Amino acid sequence: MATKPTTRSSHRDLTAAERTARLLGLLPWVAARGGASIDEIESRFDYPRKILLADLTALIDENELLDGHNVFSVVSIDWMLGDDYVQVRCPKWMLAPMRLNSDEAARLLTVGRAVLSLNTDTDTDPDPDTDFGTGPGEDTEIFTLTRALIKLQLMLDDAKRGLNTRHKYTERVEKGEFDANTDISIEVNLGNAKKTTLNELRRAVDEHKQLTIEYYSYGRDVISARTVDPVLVYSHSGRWYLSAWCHTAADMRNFRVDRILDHRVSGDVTDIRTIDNPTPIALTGDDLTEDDLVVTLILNHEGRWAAEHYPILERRELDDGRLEIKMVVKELTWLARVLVQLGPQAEIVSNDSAIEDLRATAAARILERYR
Amino acid sequence: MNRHQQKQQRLVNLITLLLRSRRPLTAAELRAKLTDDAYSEDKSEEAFRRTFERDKKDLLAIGIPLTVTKWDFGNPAIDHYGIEDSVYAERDISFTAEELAALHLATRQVRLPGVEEPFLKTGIPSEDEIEKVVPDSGQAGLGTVGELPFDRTVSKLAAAAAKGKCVEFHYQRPDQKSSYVRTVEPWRMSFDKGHWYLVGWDRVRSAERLFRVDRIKIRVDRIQESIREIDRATHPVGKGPDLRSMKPWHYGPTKSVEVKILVDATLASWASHNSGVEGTPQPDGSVILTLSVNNPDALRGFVISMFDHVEILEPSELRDDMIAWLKALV
Repeated sequence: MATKPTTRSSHRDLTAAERTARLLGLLPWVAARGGASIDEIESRFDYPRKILLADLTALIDENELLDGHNVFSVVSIDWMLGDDYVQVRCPKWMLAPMRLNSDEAARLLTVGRAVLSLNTDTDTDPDPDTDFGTGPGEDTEIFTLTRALIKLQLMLDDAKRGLNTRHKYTERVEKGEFDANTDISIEVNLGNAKKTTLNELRRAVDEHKQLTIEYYSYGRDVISARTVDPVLVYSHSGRWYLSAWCHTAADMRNFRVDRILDHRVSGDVTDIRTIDNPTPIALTGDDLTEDDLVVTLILNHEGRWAAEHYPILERRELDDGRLEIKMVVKELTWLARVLVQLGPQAEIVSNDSAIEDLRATAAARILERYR
Repeated sequence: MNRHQQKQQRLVNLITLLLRSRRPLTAAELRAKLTDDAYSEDKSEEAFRRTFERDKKDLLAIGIPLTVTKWDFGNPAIDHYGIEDSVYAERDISFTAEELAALHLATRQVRLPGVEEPFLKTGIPSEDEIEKVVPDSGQAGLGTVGELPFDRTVSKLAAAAAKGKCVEFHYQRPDQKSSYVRTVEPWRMSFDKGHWYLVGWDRVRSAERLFRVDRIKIRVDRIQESIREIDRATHPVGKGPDLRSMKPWHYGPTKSVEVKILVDATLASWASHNSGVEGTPQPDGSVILTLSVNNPDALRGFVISMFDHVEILEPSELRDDMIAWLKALV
């Protein structure tokens, strides 16, 4: 039995366009099924109950709307305020749902491909042809999702495709002849972490296992052992993170999975935590604090790559063709690395002699390696 | 009826009128046929036009394929509005309940802006339908696991790839002082290392190329698509580079050079994973990585990122370049 519906939109007013979109979706859907309950319509179309009842009432109350044309010449609604059940009759051509446009198809194709990439089990570079799980006997969810993605690919074209085309593509999937590389226009890599590591971290989250990890803190250039209670494995902006309670810091931390050098189960989690709504700020820590430093650099033409590569607060084109940027610095070691990488491509704008010396000190340290 | 309901009513009636009309209609004809305060003759022409423009935008936002044709029976040519016959999916591709359930489950696992709206056209699958596809899907294991950025440029280019249409756009790399027009046969869109890329064939350079979408310096609606489709028999979709295995030092115009670097034991596994190369382990736990390098500047950046945990062994020219770079900063 369906659970009681809760609409995502129930906390806000819908615009007229949003309500119209829902109405156009629900009318043929209800008609195709012979009828539906208010509860089900509310849940299926994210249509807050109060607004749904008002809109249905308004539709029925208005009889003469157009000169010789009214909604009832197209759609007939059998419902009264207070009823729980709605019946709709539509002309045959309206019974199918509205077509997805190419933007909608592309978005769904993107999430579908991302989910399929989660299901590759090997740790080697994935072969896109076998990555897709197209053959019969494959996992039902993957196979069903694959079929849906092929249909989305056809919708991207935004042209009308007949039954024959649909059958042709479905047959190719069922025979395992589908080539994801040339037949699908979107591919997604959620992050560059070892799949075995990801799977083991996810298992630790699911089974509430405590881990001891060896972690490379890139910003400080320090490797440390930490005991953590894993909470969530999550991809953000193309990188995998482990959100975990760190017993060393006595706080939640986000660890880049590709910087976890080693990990092992070291116990059971006793205080189980959850993150209901991971957000970019929670994961990347981009919020400024009192301890953070803001550094200004002026980049010459060769150094402009840094403005794309690192997160920056501000940028300003100078009259001489150089680019001034401001960056948030949480670790001086991180800044030292950036300054040596940029070398003569960046001028440091600073009154702080410690910043001025950073580049020289770091360069000297690395130079020792070559003596 | 409040004004929101009135507007909604007007949108539904506009759609009904356009769908049922035998021919496209002008704005004046729509105004005459619709009984709505906002379109009444009491309102000025300017006020009507403003409302009509907003209504058109809303119809497009809902996903109604509004068409505009200029007919010049009189002089000047007047816009006539219609809705494509294919607005509904009858006899077209449509999803089974299981496929919708699988797609909806995917949208729960990976977040993307604007990805929930398509289900307003098809109905959001119920938990029972989702359970049929993935038993126990309601449990914690299938919550959100990731999010991606997305914008209309990506969907426009992906659609062009699906349609087999060549595209033209302005593109500027950070090392270029201005943008250049590129003409590309798009093969696919690829999300890797946090960025969207267009992979395709550059017609002018006659070579496969990658373009970062955030470097495309033109409004998405100005990206030109060619009218004629690409002949796939003579211009097949290529595989293109495997972005997952590409590293910054692979992108460059110079001939590939074999470079050996020695990484300390502390960072051996990290360097090996991030370079995509297994390397030759040494007795002390360090590792020698052999890399193919087309871009020495990018390789220098990678080596410096590991501070004094790594050194370039050979070729001697690159080792000397690194020493000179560092000495200039000391």
